[in-house]
Amino acid sequence: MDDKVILLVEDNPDDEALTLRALKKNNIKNEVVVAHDGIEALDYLFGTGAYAGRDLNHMPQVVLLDLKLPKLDGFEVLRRLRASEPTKFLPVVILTTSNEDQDRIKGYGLGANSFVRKPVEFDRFIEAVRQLGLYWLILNERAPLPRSV
Amino acid sequence: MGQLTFRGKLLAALGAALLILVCVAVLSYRRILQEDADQKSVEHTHLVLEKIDSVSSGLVEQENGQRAYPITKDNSFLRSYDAGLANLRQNLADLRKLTSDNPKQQAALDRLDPLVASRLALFKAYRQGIVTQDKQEIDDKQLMDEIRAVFLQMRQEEQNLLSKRLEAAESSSRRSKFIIASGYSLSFLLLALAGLVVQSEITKRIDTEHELKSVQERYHLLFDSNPIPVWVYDLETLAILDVNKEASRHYGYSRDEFLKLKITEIRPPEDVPALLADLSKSFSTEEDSTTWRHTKKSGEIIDVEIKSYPVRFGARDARLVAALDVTERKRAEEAVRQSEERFRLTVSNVKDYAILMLDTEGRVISWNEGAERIKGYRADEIIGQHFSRFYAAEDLKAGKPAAEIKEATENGRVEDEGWRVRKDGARFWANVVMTALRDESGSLRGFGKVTRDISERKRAEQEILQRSAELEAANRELEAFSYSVSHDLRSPLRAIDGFSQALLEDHAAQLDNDGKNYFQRIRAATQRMGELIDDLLGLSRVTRAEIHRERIDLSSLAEEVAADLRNSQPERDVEFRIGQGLQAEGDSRLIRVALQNLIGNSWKFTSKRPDAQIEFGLIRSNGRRAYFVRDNGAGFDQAYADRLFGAFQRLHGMNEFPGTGIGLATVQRIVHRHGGKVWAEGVVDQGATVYFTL
Repeated sequence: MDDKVILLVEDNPDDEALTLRALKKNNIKNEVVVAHDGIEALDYLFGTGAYAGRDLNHMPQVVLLDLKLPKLDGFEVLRRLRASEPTKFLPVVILTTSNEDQDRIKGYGLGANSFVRKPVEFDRFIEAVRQLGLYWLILNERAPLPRSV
Repeated sequence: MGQLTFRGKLLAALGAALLILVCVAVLSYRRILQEDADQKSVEHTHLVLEKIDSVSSGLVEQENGQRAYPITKDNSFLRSYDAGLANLRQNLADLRKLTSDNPKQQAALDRLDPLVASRLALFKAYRQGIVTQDKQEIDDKQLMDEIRAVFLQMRQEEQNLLSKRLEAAESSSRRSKFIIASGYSLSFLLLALAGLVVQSEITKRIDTEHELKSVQERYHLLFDSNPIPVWVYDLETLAILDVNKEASRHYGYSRDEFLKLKITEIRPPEDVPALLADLSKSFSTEEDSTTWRHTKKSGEIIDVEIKSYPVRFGARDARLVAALDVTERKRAEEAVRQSEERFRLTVSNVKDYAILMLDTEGRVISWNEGAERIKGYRADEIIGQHFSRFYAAEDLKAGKPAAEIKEATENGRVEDEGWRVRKDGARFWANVVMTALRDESGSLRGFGKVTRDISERKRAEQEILQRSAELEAANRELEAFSYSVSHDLRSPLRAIDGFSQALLEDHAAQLDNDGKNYFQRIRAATQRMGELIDDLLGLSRVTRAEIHRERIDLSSLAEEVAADLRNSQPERDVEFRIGQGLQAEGDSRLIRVALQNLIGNSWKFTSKRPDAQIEFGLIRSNGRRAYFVRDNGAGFDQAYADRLFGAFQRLHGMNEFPGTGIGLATVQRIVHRHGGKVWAEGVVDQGATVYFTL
């Protein structure tokens, strides 16, 4: 379980700290890679930019994706990684503040696996993170990675 | 005239033939008489010749007796001589009588008589012996020769006469034969000629008769089988003289009945004076064609077109009449006329539309009141003018009038919206429909043009467009605002709450009870702020959402809401009374939100009652169906009923009942968006009822 990386795509440092705290509170000790904007997230996933040369056989177990991001928003990140063969089946959970209909429709339309709204009340946020960890890190079986990249 | 010539010719030929025949008959008769006479004179001549011969032979016998006597002295000779002498005398007398018409013979006889007498006297003298025998013989011989010469002469004379007469008779007979033969021939010729003339005339007459007969047959055929009623009437008595089958069939009178009628009797009585007047003046006209009304035997009155011609019918002056029933045609024409009249009146009185007609070139040929009102020209100013003058300068430059004529001609119709120019130069925004008008054969007759002044509508449309654009911009702004609120306002709240929690958990040792209490309050306030934001977003969403109307089962919707509430607080004991089979038209998502708010309110405000009751049902109010949610909870003062539906309006303290004060505002918004009404009744501590219609 420890080798399963979580990619957290989040630009807001408060939210980043609170999410990491919520993971810690739930004893989820997996490595968390934080990307602070869409480009960084894609660099990590495709082994480009700052992440050039990264072992692409090592893909995150789950991507926690915020929608409001600088440079490239969450939808565009989702669209691009779904269009790419190695990341086509990567589990993506949209973790966002809003629950606007339009965002949910667009998110699922682009191939999100889950849509979770971050509650204001921190206790409930911890509970949500606990359930996410339980489901995506333990219960869920990923699609096999493609042989060649 | 040919007849007369023929008759004259025939009479002349026959007359001539008759005359010739009469002449021939007379000639023949005379010929017979002549021949008779000729015959008699020939016979007479023969008689004379015979007498001459017998006198001559009597003389010869006497001579023989005279000669014999001297020789024989036989007295018997003398006796025969005497007898012969008497005979001779008698014969001579006869001869004289016979030739009394011929002086030559008479003269010969005169010469003969003395010779005969001398001879007789000589012989007498001999016998008496006065003369000798020799003497007597010599003398007698001389006398005899003389007598013989006279006889010869007479005989010759008579022979001459005979041959002359025979010749005359023959030539006369020849002539007569020729005349008779040629007379007959001529008359036969003439008769044959007359016969030929008659023959040819008879042939001609037979031909004429045949022709006449076939003409008559044709006439009857044409008359009787004519598909148009035809009759002949007497100009003087007006009696119908003949009538064809179609007339009988069409008018319902039998032929016999018809022939007893006068033409005045097949007219409506009121038309008769006009008919008589017309007859008196149109007698002389050759041909006449007019329209009249006729009455059938059944009394039905029909319109007929009459064509009549003067004719002779037997010995009467009459008129042949063909009467074509045009009732249907006239009725159709009248219907068309009335329809056209109605149409014309309708069109000319239309004020809101300019309705005009153009000829094929585009010149105005008709103009209604609406056209005058909209375009400013009077009919007399514009008729004959080209319709291009209604167009704005830029459209004229672009050749729009010609293009529209072309399109209407090709497609039958053209519709356009654009600026048009009034007589005073003012522009108006027009809707123009131009339709090509074609006759039955499909050739273009012109164009019908209907123009509406839709300047007002155009203005209104533009205003609406602008309003819509503004509204859309406002909506977009609101949406962006909502989105922003949803994302950006909640994030800091979560940070405040999260880090407050972190402080309470990680730094509890450094905080006294007041400090912990304050952090608790910060957390409660941020959570409430989160709820407020969520409710406001809900209200905004209700405002913006599109309404999808469908049939909704309100009863089961209410049951679901009640079940959710029971699940959220299973420890509570609330009695729900939900009316069954309630249905409505509406947006199911929004109605669910409304029921969640209403029933949720009742749930909340009955939380302090052990015997909580919540009722959902339908009542009739002012003839309208109103749904209601009633509870026996905290209720409210009716004086504040109007404030209930405003956003953030609360009638209870937060300590009594939690809430944001947005629920009823949301309900009102939903009901209004369905075109319904919402109102509330309440009594403090006894409960509240909220009514709504959809």
